[in-house]
Amino acid sequence: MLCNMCGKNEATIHIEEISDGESKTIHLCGECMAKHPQLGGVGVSPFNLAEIVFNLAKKPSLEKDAKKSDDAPEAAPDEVIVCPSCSWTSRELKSTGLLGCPDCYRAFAKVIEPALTAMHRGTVHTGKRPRTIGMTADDEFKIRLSALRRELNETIKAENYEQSAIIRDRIAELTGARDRIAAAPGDLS
Amino acid sequence: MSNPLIAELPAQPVGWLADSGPDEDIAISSRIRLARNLAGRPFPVHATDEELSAVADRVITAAAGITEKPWWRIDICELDGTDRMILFERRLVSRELFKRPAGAHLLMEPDEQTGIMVNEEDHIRLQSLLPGLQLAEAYEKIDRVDCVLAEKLDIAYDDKLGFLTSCPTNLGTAMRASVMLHLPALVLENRIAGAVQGIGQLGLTVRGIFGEGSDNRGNLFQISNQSTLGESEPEIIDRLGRVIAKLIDHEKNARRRLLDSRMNFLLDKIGRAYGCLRNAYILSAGEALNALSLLRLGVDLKMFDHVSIHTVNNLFVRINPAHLSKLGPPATDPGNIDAARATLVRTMLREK
Repeated sequence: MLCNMCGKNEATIHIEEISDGESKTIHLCGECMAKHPQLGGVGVSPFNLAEIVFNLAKKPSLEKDAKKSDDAPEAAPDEVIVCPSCSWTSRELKSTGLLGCPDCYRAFAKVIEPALTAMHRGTVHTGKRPRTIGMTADDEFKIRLSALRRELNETIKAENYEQSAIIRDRIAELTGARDRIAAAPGDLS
Repeated sequence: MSNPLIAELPAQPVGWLADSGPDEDIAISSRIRLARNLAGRPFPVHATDEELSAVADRVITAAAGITEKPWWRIDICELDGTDRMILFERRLVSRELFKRPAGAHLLMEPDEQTGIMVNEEDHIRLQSLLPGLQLAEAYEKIDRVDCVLAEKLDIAYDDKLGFLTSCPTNLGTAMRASVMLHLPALVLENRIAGAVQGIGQLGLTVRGIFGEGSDNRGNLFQISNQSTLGESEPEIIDRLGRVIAKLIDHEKNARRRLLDSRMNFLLDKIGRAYGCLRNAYILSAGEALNALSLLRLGVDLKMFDHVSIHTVNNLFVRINPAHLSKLGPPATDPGNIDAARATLVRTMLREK
């Protein structure tokens, strides 16, 4: 079957859409699917998220400007900030979504910080710091525990009870070891 | 000019495709990438040639002696197009690295599982790529390299924003964890769009096999974290891992449903794909990858006793254009690459 969109390539993706109680199937090739992320978002984001976020942040003010532009003089262009270290400008930041050098983060804090919430799940770094050797014991504990639990689910599903028992022992050993450390008195000195 | 190190690569199996590994029938590979930059230096995208070379010298010096075996050091700027594509097809580098006029390097371990891209979008992009579902293992591996580099280099870091990166979407941990999943049954059942939409709502990204800008040929999907700021590395890995486990379950259930209630439909799809691979004389890369995906599903479901997963894995890499031009039967003219691919596939499937 040929792709419904380009009519050239073999359709490899078939999406069932239900709207108004009616089911409709769309047949697409990988290329067209990639070009139309709204059809399920498979594949691709050839655009730069940062670029979009900065432009979204700008948009409302543009619309406002457009409304009052009938008799009001043209609104002053956004203030352009220049990074003192590398002379990258806030205008370049907005058009490329990229920064010039590490110091740009300080220079453009006003532009970047409001955009961070749209890009990330938080605004403050809580992970690794440079020059800490390896992970903290707690991080390592969490990673190992989650891997073991996943493994346990797998073995239970596969009805491999012998292996499940072994993994359960390892989990008990791991959590036990941590609790012993946490509960050990006199370690605070 | 052809690089002697790269001459050895095409014939050897890639480090991220194992003939058996944890959950490897559905989770093909796991990758962790960390972005790091040197403080006080312009990011590579608009650094001068001299600045790029200076950064490369510093990073390469600092990286020496970290790993058990010495790094393979490849100067990307000296490579011809085919050698570059060999590295790309083996998922050792990204296209962004090819854009630098100077100072672009790849350091990699001979087993191809750990690598450092120098002067990609950031000064340093560390990568660990393992077969199967091994996110925590991949993180441990690359974290060790990262810690040693941080001892020797002045890394750009801010207490609030974390690791400072060329693009603010990578701030914080500057870590991208991703798993490549093979989901043919969900695609056959038309359930993939729903699954993918769900992933998007969880703040994860879905991409095709070769990352940004590539399509989902071969029923291959790369799932990775979208956000890098606000969560620690283990939290990101844990959250991604839980979603991956769900998707693997969905795919397993879809495979079971197809086997239970639509056996003829499934056999027909797999049989036709196999027939195409065994008998075609002209095969585009996309068609070959899609058919190989179904063949792989058949092998996973133990439908073939004469085709091994080893052969499927091998073909998976060798049908790509650069590998084909190095290893495949000679194409008489560029238009014949599809014929050369078909010959390679027919030959390899005849061998045990």
